Amino acid sequence: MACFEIKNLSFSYPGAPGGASEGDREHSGAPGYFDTPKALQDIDLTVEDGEYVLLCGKSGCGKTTLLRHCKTVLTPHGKREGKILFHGKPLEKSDQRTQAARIGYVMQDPDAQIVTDKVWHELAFGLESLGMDQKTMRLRVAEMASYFGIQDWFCKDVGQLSGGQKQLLNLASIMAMQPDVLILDEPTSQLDPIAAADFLNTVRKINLELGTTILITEHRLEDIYHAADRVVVMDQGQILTDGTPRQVCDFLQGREHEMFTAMPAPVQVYYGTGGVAVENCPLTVREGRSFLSGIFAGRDPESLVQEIEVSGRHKSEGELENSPLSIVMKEVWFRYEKDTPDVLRGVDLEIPQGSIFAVVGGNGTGKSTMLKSVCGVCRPYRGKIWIEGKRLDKYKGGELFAGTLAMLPQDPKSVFVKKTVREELLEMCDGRAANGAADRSAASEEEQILKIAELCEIDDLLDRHPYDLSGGEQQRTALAKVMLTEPKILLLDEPTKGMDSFFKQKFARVLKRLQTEGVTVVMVSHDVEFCARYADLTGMFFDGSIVTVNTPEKFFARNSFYTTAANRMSRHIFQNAVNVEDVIELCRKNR
Amino acid sequence: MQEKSIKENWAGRRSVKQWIALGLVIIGIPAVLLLSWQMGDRKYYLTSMLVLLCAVAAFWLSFERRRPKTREMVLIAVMCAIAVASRAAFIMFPQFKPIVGIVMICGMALGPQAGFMTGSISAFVSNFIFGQGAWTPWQMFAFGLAGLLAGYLCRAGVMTGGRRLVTALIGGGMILVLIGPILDTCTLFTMSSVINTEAVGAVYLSGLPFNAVHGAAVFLTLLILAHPMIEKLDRIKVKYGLMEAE
Amino acid sequence: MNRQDAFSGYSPQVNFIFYIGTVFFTVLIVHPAFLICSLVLAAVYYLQVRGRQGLRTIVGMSPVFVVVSAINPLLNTGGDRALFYLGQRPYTLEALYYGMALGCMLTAVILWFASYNRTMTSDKFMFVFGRKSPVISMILTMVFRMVPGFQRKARQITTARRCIGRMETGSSLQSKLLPSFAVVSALTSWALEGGVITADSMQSRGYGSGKRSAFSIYSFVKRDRLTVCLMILLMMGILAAVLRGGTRASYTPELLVSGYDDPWLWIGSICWFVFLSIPVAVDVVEEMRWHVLRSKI
Repeated sequence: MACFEIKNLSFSYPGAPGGASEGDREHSGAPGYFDTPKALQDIDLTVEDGEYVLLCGKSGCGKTTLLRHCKTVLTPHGKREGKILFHGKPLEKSDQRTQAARIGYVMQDPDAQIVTDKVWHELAFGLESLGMDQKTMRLRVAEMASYFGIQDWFCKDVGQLSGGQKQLLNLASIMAMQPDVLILDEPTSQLDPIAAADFLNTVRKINLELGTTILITEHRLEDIYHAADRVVVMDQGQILTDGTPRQVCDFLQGREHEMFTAMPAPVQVYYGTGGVAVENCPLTVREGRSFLSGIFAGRDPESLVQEIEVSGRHKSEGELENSPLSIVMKEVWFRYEKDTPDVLRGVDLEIPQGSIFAVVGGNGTGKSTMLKSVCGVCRPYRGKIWIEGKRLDKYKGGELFAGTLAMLPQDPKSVFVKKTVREELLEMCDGRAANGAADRSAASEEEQILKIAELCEIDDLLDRHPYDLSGGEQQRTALAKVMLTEPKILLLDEPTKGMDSFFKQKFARVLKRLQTEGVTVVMVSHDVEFCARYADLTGMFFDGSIVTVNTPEKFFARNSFYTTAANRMSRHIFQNAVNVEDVIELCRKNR
Repeated sequence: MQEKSIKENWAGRRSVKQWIALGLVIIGIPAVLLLSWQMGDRKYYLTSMLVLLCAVAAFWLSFERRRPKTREMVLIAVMCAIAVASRAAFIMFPQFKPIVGIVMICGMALGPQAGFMTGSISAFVSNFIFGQGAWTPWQMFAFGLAGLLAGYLCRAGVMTGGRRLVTALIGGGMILVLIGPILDTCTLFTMSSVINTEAVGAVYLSGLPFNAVHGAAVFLTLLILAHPMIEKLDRIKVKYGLMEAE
Repeated sequence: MNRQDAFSGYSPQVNFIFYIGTVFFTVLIVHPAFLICSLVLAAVYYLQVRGRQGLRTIVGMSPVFVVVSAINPLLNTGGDRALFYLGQRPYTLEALYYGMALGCMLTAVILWFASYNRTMTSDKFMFVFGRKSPVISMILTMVFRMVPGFQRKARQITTARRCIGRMETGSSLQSKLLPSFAVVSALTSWALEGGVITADSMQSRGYGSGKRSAFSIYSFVKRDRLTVCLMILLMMGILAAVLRGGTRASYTPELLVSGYDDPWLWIGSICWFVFLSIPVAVDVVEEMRWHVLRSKI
C-alpha cells in the first residue's frame, strides 16, 4: 500500500513585494516576504511502504517545501491545490497526535531541534506529548537508547554533545514514537563527513531492519546515492525525473542537466568515458574501481600515460616558492587551560602570499584552534607567529583586523546584526569612518558596497533580510562583510559546510577572484573534494601539528584514505588523478 | 461527543487551578501574616518571602491556566535565556547587568504578562547558575515587576521602541527608585533585627551606588537595544504568524 | 569531581522537603540552641558534599558572621547593658547577641543553600514541580537547555566580530561597551530564528496535541517513603515546640531565652537535631554498609 500519494500538488507562498532569487526559503522554512511564481507545481509522487526515497535538487528547488507538506503542523502558509493522501486517507483528516506518532520529521539544524536539557528527557519528549504511561515510556526509551548506542551519554546535558550526537539524538527521539515513515530534510548538512556517514548508515539500518519508509533530501550524494531505492530530482518546483538511481543518472546525462555535476564521481567518470548501458553504471567507489579495471584489463599500469595537464589550474610551484611569505608559524604550542592537554604541538607553517592554502584533517585535531592562534584569539605559550613579516604580538589593539587579516567564522550568522544585507555591509563602513582611518562620503561608501556585493555575487540580495537567505548566500554575504575590512589575508573556517555543489562552485569563483586581487586565503576544511579542486597548496593537520604540505595533486595522490573519491577509484591504475576530470582525461589519453 | 467531554474535563481542571490561585492569594497571605504576628517580633523576612512567593505563584498559575500556544512559550523561553546569557557578552564589565533591561524590552514587545513571566523566570534560572539563596524570591518578584510595568507603560504609550531616550530614562529610573529598593529590602530584612529609621536609612543609602550602576546599565541597554530588539521580535511575530491561530 | 553523597541519591521530593523544612525553621526560630545546631550541621553536610574544598567556603563565611553581628547594635539600640557609647547611642550587649544570632542564621542559610545548589540540580527541581504545572516547567526546561548554548554562541559572536575588527574600535568606555550590545543584538536574531525551529520540532512531535504525561528517571521507593514519614513526624514535633513556646527567644530590649528547665525546648531541639542530621546520617550509614560488605569478601 502506498504510504504517501501526492496528487497534482501546487503551492505558492503568500506574495509580497521584493524580488525572488535562487535560494528562497529552503532554509528558513517559512512564508517569506517575496513573490515566487509557484514554489511547487503539479507534483505527483507516490511513496510505497518500506521504500527508501532520495529527493535531490539545487538549493531552492522546493525540496523542503514539498517535505513540509507531508506533515500538517509544518505545512507553510500559502495557496495550495491538489491532494496528499497518507495511507489512502487525506493527510489533514488525521489529527496532530496521529501524525506526530506516525510521521517522523528530522530537520536540518541539529541544535535548534532539541527541546529539553537532558538526553533522557529529550528521548522521551515525543512520548510525553502523546500522553503515554510511565511504564511504556521507560521501555521505549531504554530500547531506543540501546538501539542507537546512546547509553553512554544517556544522563548528559544536551549541551555537552557533538553535532553528530545531537542529530542522532533527534533521530532516536523520533524513532521512539515508532513512526511508519521518516522524513529527513538535509539531516547531515551541519555535520562533518564522518558523523554524516555514521548518521546515514543508521538511517539505512532503520530502513533495512525495521522497514520504516524513508524520504530524505541530501546534497552530499556520495554516501547515500547507491543506497536509495528510488531517486526523485526536482527542479524549479517540479519533479524532473523519478526512477532508480541508475535511470536517474542516465536521464540527467542525456539531458546534460546541471544536476549531473552533483552525481557521485564514479557516475561522472562512467559517462565521461563514453559509458552507455544504464545497468552497468558504477555507483560506488568499489564498482568504479572494477569498471576501470575492466577498461584497462591486461594492460600494464607502467605503460599508461600518467601526465595530467595541470597548468593554469593552480599557481605553479615555482611561482609559490618565489612569492614572499604571508604567514609564518614557528614551533607554536598552545593549550586552553593550564592543566589540559596541548592542542597545538609545535606547528610549523609557511604560507606564501597570494595563495589559496587548505588545511585538511580529522575532527578535533586542532585545525580551528590553529586559525584562532593566527588571528590572536588563542595566544600560544611557546613559539612565534609572523603576519606579513611582522610579529603577531607587535600588532596592537584592533590593528591586526584593520586591513591586514580577517576571519570568516564557521557559522556565517555570527556576523549578522542588521535587518538587511545592505545595512550589514554599511555597518562595516561607519566603523572605519569613526576610526578616522578614512574619510569617505556616503556616495563612495555605497560604491564600495556595490563593488564588494558584485564581487561576492550578492548584488541582487541587498534588500533581503540576512536570515531569509539560504546557507550559501549567507556565507557569501558574510564574506562580503569580512572583505570590507580590506584584509590581505583571509581565514576561512569550514567555508563549504552545508552548501550544495552549485553554491560551492560559486563560492570558489569568488575566492579565485579575490586571489587575483592579491588576497591570501587560508581555509580549514573537511571538504576534501573542494580543497583538491581549488587550493594551491594543501596541508594535513594531525595530532596538533601540520604533517605534510604539498600541491593538491601530489598531496591527495599520496593519501589512501583521506583523499577524493575520484582518486580512490582510480589509484590502482593512475598515479596522479585527483579530480573526476583527471580520470576522464587519462582514460581518453590511454584509449 | 468525545471532544465535548474532553473540553468539559479541561474546564474542570481549569477551575481547580483557578481556585488554587485564588486560595493562595486570599488565604495564603493573611495566614502568613497571622502566623508572623503570632510569632512575635522580627518575622519580616519569613512573612515577606512567603507573601512574595504567593504573588509570583499567582502570576505563574494564571499564565499556566491560559494554556499559551507553543510558539509563545518558546518565545518567552528564548527571551529568558537571552536575558540570562546576555551577561556573557559583557565579561569585561562584571558589574554590568543588562538582564532587567532585556526583561523590560520583552515586556514592551510581548505584553505585561509575558514581561512578568520573563522577569521572574530569568531571575530564577540565573540563580541556578550563580547560586540560589534567600534573595531568590525577591529577585523573581522584582524582575517580574519590572517586566510587568514596562508592559503596561508600553500599552499606555509611555515606553515605546520609538521614544528611545524617554524609555531608557523611565527604565533606569525604575531601577533606581523601585526595583533596586525592593532588592535592598531583602537585605534589610535578613541583616537587621529592627526596622527603624537608622536601619532603613543605612541599608538604602549603602544600596544606592549599586542601584545607580544597575540603573545605568539598564538605561544603556534600553537606549541601545530596545529599538533593534523590538524590531526583531516584531519580525518574528509577523514572519511566523506568531499571533495567528496555530 | 565530587563524590556523590547518599542523600542526593534519594528521591528529589525527599531532598526538597528536607530543604524546605530546614530553611523554614532556621529562619523562623531565633533560639541560640536551634541556630547553632543548624549552623553546625549545615557545615558538616556541606563538607560531606564538597569534600576538602568546602572548608575554604566555610572559613570564608566568618567575616559575614562578624560583620552582621557587629553592625546590628549600631542600628538597634535596645537593651540596657551598654558596652560603650558612640556619641549619644549605646552599643548594647543584648543587641550584640541579637546580631550574633542573626549572623548565625544568615551563615547557616547560606551554607544550606550552598549544599542545596549541589544536590538539587535543575532536573530534580523540574521533577518535583513538573507535574503540577506543565507549561511553566516546559518553559523552565527550555531555558535551562538554551542558556549554556546561548552563552557559547555569545562567545562565538564575540570572537567572530573581533576577527573582523568590530570589537575593539577604540579605547573609550563607549567604544568598549557598544560592541557588546551588538553581540546581544546578533544573539537575539540567531536565538529567535532557532526558537521557531524548536517550536516546529515540538509540534512535530505532538506537543500540545492533548493530555501530556511526564517521564522521569527517578523513582519513589520504600526508603523514600520512610524518610518522608520520619521528616513529617520530626517537623510536627518542632512545630509543637514552637507553639508551646519552647523555642521562644527575644534579645532586645531584654534578653529572654527559654532555658534548659523547659521540657519543650528539649523535645524541639532533639527533633531539630535529628531532622537536620538525616543527610549526614544517611551518608555515614551507607559508608559503613560498604565497609562491612567489603570486609566480608
